[in-house]
Amino acid sequence: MGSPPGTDDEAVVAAYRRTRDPDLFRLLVERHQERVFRLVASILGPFADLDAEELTQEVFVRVHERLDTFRGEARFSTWLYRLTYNRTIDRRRRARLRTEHVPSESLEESATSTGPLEAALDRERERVVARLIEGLPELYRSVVHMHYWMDQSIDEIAETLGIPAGTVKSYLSRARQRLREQARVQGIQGLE
Amino acid sequence: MEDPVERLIRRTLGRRAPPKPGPMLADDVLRRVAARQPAAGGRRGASRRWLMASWLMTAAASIEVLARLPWSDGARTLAWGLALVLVPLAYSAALWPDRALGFLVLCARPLLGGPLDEPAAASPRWPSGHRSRGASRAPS
Repeated sequence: MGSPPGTDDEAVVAAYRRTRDPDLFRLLVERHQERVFRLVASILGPFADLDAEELTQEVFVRVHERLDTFRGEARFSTWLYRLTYNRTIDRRRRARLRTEHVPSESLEESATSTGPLEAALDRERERVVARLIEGLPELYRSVVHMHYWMDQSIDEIAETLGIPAGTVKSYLSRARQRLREQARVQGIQGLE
Repeated sequence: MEDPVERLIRRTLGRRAPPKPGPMLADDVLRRVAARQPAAGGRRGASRRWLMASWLMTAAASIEVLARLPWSDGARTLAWGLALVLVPLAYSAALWPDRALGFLVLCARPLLGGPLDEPAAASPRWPSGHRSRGASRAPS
């Protein structure tokens, strides 16, 4: 059986390398599955035609294959999330053609609109914004998804991405600024 | 007060509920890991055993047949030559098509005249997972 849950990841990795005990690898998966899944889902976003659960499994299989290359220079979690990020970005890039256009069924009835005309305008506005978000640089888009869609705190995002909290705030601010400018170009009013 | 852009982003993204990991995620991962491990090692081992057994059987049958045929010395030599070249080549091609092709190209060089470039299939491939030289290099 594996190490007690209190043991740090690096010790679990070392023990797994020695013993190849599947329970030890299970321990690593169980510790990190939630956060890896959230990272994968955030990078894919709400409109990507890829399954976050499937990709999370793929990431862990990849982690298992590459575990011998982990040299302990960084924390295991840092290594894991970086691998997750790179792998998911890679998959998303390959799937780009399928996700280029935001599917219209994903933006159905608007709960805030009062009449049919306003509902149609809201839908159109949200469709434009969804496309603009999809068009953001990868890192900005991922951070936007993590914060506004997955409801992750700034500190949590910072820890996952291995960057300072101030940098996360700066990414969010730049992403909002970019969206504001592009929305204005697209004729969306009232965002100042 | 919330920034109007933030409100719009939240509303747009909120059209789809954030997904949640399934309760069997860890089990599924371990199942996939377990399925890959014996598959990779076992398939290679089984292929090697199959190659070895096929070789021995074919060699025994060839010796038996060739020894009994009333052929001339030239025909017998040709038959032996073909058996010795084609049989391993056929089995190797099934297991390692790139190497077999490389071998054929190598053999064909003198017949084709001039030196040829190394065929891409016979060149060693760079490992897909790069070796990171520093901590800053990201794993793929």
